[in-house]
Amino acid sequence: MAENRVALLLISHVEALAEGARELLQQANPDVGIYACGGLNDGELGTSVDHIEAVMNEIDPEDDILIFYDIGSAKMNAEMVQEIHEDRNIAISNAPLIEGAYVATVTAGLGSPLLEIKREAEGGYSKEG
Amino acid sequence: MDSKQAKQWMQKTAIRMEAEKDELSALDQALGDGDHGVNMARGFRAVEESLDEWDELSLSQLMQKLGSTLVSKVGGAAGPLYGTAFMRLGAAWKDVHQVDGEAWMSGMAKAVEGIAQRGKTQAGEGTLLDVWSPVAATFTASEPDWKKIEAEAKKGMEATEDMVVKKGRGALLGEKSVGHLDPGAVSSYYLFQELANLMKAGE
Repeated sequence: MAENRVALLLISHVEALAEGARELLQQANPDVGIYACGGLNDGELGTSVDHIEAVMNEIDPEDDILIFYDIGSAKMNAEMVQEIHEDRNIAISNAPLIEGAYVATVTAGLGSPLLEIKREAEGGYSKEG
Repeated sequence: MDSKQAKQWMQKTAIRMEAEKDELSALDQALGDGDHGVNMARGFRAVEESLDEWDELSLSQLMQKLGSTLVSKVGGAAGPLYGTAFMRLGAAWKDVHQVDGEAWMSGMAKAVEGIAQRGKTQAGEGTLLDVWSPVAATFTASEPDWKKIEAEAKKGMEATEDMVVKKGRGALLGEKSVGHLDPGAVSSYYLFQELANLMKAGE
């Protein structure tokens, strides 16, 4: 069975941070689906299930998803979204946002499956100790 | 507590969160985003504005709605944590129309379990669980002792000041995180204080 394509979802408290990270990573591989979710719907700082859901709607429903988060509540909201979409293959990476998502971009570009990309991204360092 | 009192509790809490908004946000500036007060006030304002629509709901449905509204309107970590707690209360009170000591005891045990799972945390790590957990443990099968419940909530809230924060961005600071009241524990104290006041007035 062919592996699903993997999209990356970057969750940050700040829109500019998520967008900036996406720009940096897309340079490494313009063909990988990278989605930025920064701040709240109204442009304020923070993370919320509602805003992540809005960005989730832009992602091809056939894609698997690897989520990267910045700090604190970003992870908890990522976990809630993961539970809402329990029928989809969604993993959360504990790697630092920029370094981890960079490794993931390159690895996803090679066509690797979700969990392998997660493993590679966390290879150097994981925020979960 | 019946559904009418539950709605009064939500109203009182909305007023309280609005009044304490700046203080809660100031507490959150020490180790967090500095927006806990604003977020809680926004969430409970949305709850208050929905109360008319929720008029026909059972107690269980009310708690579910309260939970899902807080998840989406409070946001941050507090939204999912408070939201999960109230959704668990809703699930536990499926056929309950009047919450007695026993229903509080079993419902709160589920709520605490939900917060612990959602936050991957336990009591003693400087979170709202340090209020919810002792409050849950205070309920017995007999009539709730609201004075004691309020006192336990206060003690739990105050204890977070001496804890090393293990969760959220404050955890990145390790030992340096000691010396701050957890804003989620403080807002939880307000929530239970409003409940205790309401229930004492009805006795």
